[in-house]
Amino acid sequence: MDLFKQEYEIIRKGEALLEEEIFSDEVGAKHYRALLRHYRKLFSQLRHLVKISDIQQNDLNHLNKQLVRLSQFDPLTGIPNRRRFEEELNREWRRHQRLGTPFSLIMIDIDHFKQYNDTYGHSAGDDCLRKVAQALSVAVNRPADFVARYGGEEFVCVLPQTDGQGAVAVGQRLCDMVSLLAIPHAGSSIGKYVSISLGVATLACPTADHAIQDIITAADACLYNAKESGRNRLDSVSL
Amino acid sequence: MENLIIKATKSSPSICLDAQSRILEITGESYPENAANFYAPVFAWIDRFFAQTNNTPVTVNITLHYFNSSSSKVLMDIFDRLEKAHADGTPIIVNWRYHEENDTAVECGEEFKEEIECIAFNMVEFNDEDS
Repeated sequence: MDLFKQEYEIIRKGEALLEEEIFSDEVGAKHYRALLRHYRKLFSQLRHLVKISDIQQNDLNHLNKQLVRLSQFDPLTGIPNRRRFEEELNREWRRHQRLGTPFSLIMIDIDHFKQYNDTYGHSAGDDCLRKVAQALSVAVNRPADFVARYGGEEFVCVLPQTDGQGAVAVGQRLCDMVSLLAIPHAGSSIGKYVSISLGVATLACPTADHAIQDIITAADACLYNAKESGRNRLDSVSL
Repeated sequence: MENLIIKATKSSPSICLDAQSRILEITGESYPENAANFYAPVFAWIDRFFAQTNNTPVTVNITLHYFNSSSSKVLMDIFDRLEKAHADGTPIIVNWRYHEENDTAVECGEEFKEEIECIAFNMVEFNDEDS
């Protein structure tokens, strides 16, 4: 399919007219020929300009996608970053306020990560973050669930349409997945391997009166409790 | 004849039209707010230059990393003038210079090359060491 079929037809007709020698005077024919030549030139330019514009546009689209990826994913771990988390969170939160269905959030922290870095060095620390991030991402498998890097050694898991029981089950699975990695942690005072602590908060029936910050704060408080009561565990609350 | 030198800005290329060495260069990125205004002095210079030129060869080096659609049309019009000058007896060579990693510049160069009928249009690759 030629985009410029119509234009090409017009030129072809014009050329046919010239061949039929319908012009009685040579001056008119000369002008007509010149106009046609000019039109053909413009037409050819247009074809190439459109093509060039498409090439440039593709290039920009490609760059745009790259920028979106760079702005939404954490370069170290490859999972969604905090910006993406906040975007998704706000979207899901507004949906839940409308629907009034349960919404859960888990804050996750790697236990004694500072000691891990001190013991094995920052490069090993980065490896550890990558492995934990991957394990956590694999552990949440429903399409709308997702794990993001919240900052440092903290991660966050968003669980749309999930009640307290379901969220605790996911939290337990996250713990198990990290245990299964069996990353040695000689600097830990609570075990031989890298472990995580979790704070799980659920809002059973969101309404317009609730604020998303309340859930984040509650999950943070639970995480704090889990740490205080010995780490490598989960604490949960239903609001 | 005076040379035309315009310094590059963020959105417009550097222009260096040298009447003595007979080398015309456009280098950088080209997406000026008003391409017709920006290139008006270039067209004026080119018209004056070829009006009084002898038949000594002219080299045109174009190195554009990025340019908008209006600039594409400007380039087409420049090439059009160069073709006329060539037909009138001044041998002209155009070097379309592109960085080895800039596939877009290669593809665009090929499009311009297809549009050109009689002057030599060379695709010239360079890398970081060359520049």
